[in-house]
Amino acid sequence: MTSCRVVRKHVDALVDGELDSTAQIDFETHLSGCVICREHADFSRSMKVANKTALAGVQAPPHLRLRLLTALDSAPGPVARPAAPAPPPARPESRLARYALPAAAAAVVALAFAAQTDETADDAMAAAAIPVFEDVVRRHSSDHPPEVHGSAFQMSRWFQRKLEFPARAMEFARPDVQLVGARLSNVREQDAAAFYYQVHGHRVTVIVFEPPPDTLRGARRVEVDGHELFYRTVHGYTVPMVQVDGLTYAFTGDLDSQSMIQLAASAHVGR
Amino acid sequence: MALDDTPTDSERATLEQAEFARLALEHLDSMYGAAMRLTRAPADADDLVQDAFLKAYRFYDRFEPGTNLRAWLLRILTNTFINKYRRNVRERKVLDGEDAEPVGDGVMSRAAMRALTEPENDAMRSIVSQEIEKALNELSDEHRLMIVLADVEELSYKEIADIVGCPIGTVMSRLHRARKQMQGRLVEQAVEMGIVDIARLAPDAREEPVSLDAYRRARGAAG
Repeated sequence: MTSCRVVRKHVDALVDGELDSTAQIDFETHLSGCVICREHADFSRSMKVANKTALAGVQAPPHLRLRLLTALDSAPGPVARPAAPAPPPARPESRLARYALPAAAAAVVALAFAAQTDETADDAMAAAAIPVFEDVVRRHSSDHPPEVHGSAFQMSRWFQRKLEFPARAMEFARPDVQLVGARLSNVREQDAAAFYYQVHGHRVTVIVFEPPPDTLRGARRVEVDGHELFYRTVHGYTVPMVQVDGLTYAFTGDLDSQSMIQLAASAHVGR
Repeated sequence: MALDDTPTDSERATLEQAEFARLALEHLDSMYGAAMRLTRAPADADDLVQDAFLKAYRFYDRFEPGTNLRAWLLRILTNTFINKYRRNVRERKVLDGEDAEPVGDGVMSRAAMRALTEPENDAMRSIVSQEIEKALNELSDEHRLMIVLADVEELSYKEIADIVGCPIGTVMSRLHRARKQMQGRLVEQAVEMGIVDIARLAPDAREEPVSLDAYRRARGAAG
């Protein structure tokens, strides 16, 4: 029988109708016999309804509609719209190609849409197993403690005696990224270096490794501000990779797709 | 406009623009409502809706017909908000603090839950409504967004994850925290107004039995 702890923990999913049908039945069975959990569920449901009642029903002011229509008239047309109304392109690559807009800002905006629009397809493909990307995400998720702290230079020195290749920390052309530590790691059984960063309080892991032959299989190529990146979305993480001097640098972090790609694009290998 | 067999490019563009406007404006109240909740200022909400609306038009051929247009528009609105409006606001620190702070299940006592569950009197109902609005405004951007998307727009976790660009697990934990914070605020207010008796909160705030058997035993012992 489902325990009270489990029911309470997932009471949000219950009231949001996000449980699968088996769990739903288990929960309902539990609730029919447990007065405290029933109170919790009733309360959560009641609060959800109260939120809707209190917060919904905001109406746009009448002037806004006119303002939008006027703005639309003088707005630039859709980006690279096909010559005739046509179904969306079947191949995501062709879509992405059209995002290579001249203006950097526009490119970033378009990129955000590309990365997010294609997430479902990415997740489906990820299920078909892209080992290197998945492995990289696993190194980030396991959240191991750093083995070495200090400056980027000290960390590189520390790796010198441990790895066959020069593992140097990525540096970022922005002040909000802090290098907090590093540790030995591995990707597909090969030695790798993991560097840990904090970006606005979110963890970002950069894994440096010698890429196995099929590392970039299935990845999308994109250019941001003249930087070439490859990325995939795996388990909800957008993982950009850059290749420098024969090494691959893979970025995984608790940030949205656009932020991750921007972050990777702003990185360079330190000396 | 001449409706001959082959419309000119400009005629086609006009038709497509009108079609976009018709479909997108059906969701104007949703967009404006979300923009108001996010920016908390009518002038900013107007600007945000306009920016998002024009951006949606610009990228309209990327919308996949048959999918949820409202969710797509809200995604663009959210991205626009995050990129443009929030960049100036240094509230990440506050947010991180909240995220780092665990929210226990013991936050809510049973007496408080009962008082707030389908409140019986009008005074309570009215206070709940007013306080919900205040409580929402006190949340961080991320948490406010969760309440708007999940409770007001009633989108699925998957749709919210797509909009926010984070894993579903993150949606669930953020939503949980957002709701707990709002509930905590409501209880405080209810106590302040004397609607929930503070004296009744104390005994119920103790560790509750975690299984039905334990609960029955505890009741048996109490009786």
